[in-house]
Amino acid sequence: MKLLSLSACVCNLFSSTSTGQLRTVQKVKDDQPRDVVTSLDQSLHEAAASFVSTRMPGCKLMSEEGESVLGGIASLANGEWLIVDPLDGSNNYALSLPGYGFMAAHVVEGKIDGSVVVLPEHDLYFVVEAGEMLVSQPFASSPVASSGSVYYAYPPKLGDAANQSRAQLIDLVDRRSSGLYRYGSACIGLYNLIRGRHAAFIGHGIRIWDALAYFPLLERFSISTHYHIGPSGLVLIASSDQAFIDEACGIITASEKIAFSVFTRDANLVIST
Amino acid sequence: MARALIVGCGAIGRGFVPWILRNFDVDFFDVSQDLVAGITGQGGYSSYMSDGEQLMHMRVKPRKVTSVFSDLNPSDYDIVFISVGPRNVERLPAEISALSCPIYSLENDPITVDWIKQGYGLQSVYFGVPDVITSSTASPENLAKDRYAIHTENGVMYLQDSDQASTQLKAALPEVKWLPVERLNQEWDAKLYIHNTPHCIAAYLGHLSGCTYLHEALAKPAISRVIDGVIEELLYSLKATTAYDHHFIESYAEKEVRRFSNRLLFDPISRVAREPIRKLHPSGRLTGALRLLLSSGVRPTYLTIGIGAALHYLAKNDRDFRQVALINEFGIPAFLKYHLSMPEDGLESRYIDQNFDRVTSYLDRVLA
Repeated sequence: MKLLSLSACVCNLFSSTSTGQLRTVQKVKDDQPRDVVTSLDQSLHEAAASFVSTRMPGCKLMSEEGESVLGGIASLANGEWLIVDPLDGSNNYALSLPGYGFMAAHVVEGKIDGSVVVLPEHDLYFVVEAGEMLVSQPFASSPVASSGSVYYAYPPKLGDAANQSRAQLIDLVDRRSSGLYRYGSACIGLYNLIRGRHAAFIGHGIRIWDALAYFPLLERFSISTHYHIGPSGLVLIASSDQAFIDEACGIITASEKIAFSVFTRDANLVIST
Repeated sequence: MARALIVGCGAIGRGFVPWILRNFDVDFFDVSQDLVAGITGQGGYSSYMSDGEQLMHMRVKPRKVTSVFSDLNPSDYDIVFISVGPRNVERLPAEISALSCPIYSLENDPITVDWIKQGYGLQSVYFGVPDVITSSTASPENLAKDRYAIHTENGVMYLQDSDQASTQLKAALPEVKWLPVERLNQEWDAKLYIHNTPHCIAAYLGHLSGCTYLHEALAKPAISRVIDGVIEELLYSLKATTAYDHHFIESYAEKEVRRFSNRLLFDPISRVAREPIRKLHPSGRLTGALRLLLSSGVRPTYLTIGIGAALHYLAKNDRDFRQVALINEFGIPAFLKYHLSMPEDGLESRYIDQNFDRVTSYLDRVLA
């Protein structure tokens, strides 16, 4: 019930700020105009931090708006962690554009034990806890639409090898789908993947909190999830189309010399150091 | 002999429907293997019908009871009834798409007709209103004789008329009232609001009072006062907003409390109160009724007490228990938004939120 309780607190906070009074941008990170932090980011981060300290003794917090963690991503292999993106799509929220949500993944000894995704614009939360998925309202995943597109998330600064694979991935997306979508929220991109609007999701060097909470959901909706977690972040290819996954993973592996793992709920996350 | 299939061996499917199918060979489908094995093993079960003063007994002897749909021949039936609970309609066996006879959804919500049509590619699906209270169990003495025994009221089955319902089928179902869809909607409104609304509120109040059966709840003056108040509010509102015959809805209302109070039904509060989130759906018996009252200028004093009681329904075995148990952490606006898509700034949500603490104090004071 802990994660359901966390989702209740988050829903409450979103509802109490539904008039948008927390859209004010408080800071811009790393000199990237799209990486803004709103008052709502901070409120949700504080709520998650308070929840962890009072309700999850022994659990450590890794949050987009928190302090950087000593040891980085490799630390997730040991101990109990809550990995939180308090407001994915902050810039959308600041600009009064659609597309934002809350994500939290609960990782215990390197294994994803549960997760929370809250989508205020869709009146939905997903909670995976104690091996069970709870959705706030009736929800059924849909088969991929014949005009399904691909959501492609990547950071503003990619290295040379990643830039090279990005060009090939865009070409792949144009060949194999109705086109590339990128609207500032991996959280909503992944939601649209499970509801069949996107045929695939590519997260290319994104941060761990941008997608980890969706891993157990993707598996439950029978969407194959190939990932690489390393010092530069998370690479994620998720789709029901195995041929697309194979080709996308092949492009990235060839350029960036990284290996992909397939997510299964019972296996520990593979973290490259 | 005509043949019928009942999908779902719950209260309505097992308790009431067989009484109108006395001219039929009847098959049952239910996902509960224990129930199927139990009824099959003893060659049937006992259903008891109450007229308010005495119980009539009928031994129901199904032709077949199964939890494997492929054991059945879909072309074998003249009529099919689906009564599995609205939330389970989307999880019916895929093989029901092979049924070719008229299918009646008895799911307390006309939208389920569309869900069944769309979900299974069926055309001949219609709505039915079983205007009846049926328990999911029986009195202790009848259960001692047969653990699958069940009590039902002597109600009325209204079925939507259509070209697919042949003259022979109608002749085999003499107790059914066949209605055009417009008239069925009137029966549905009467049942939804005048029957279902006070019925579930009585259950929520009964739960808070520690009762087990509905007739125990109605015996408490504090609860029957609220139920009378709810019915009065609904009658005012229906008279103001619909063209329904006033005599019809008044006489319907008059018999309701009598029905709820039937001491022979042994209707468990856990059955009537189950899944409060579903019962709070904006198109339904609680918040749908609230919208009706607010839009017609009727102050929903008693209905709000009922809605508050539903939001306090904490039964550990209930499917909605975990969410309702966290209502204070959600807060009322978020609870209604995320579970029922009721906007935080909507009139109903604000009304419930503004009155929730007051209703909680009232419930603590009057029912504790």
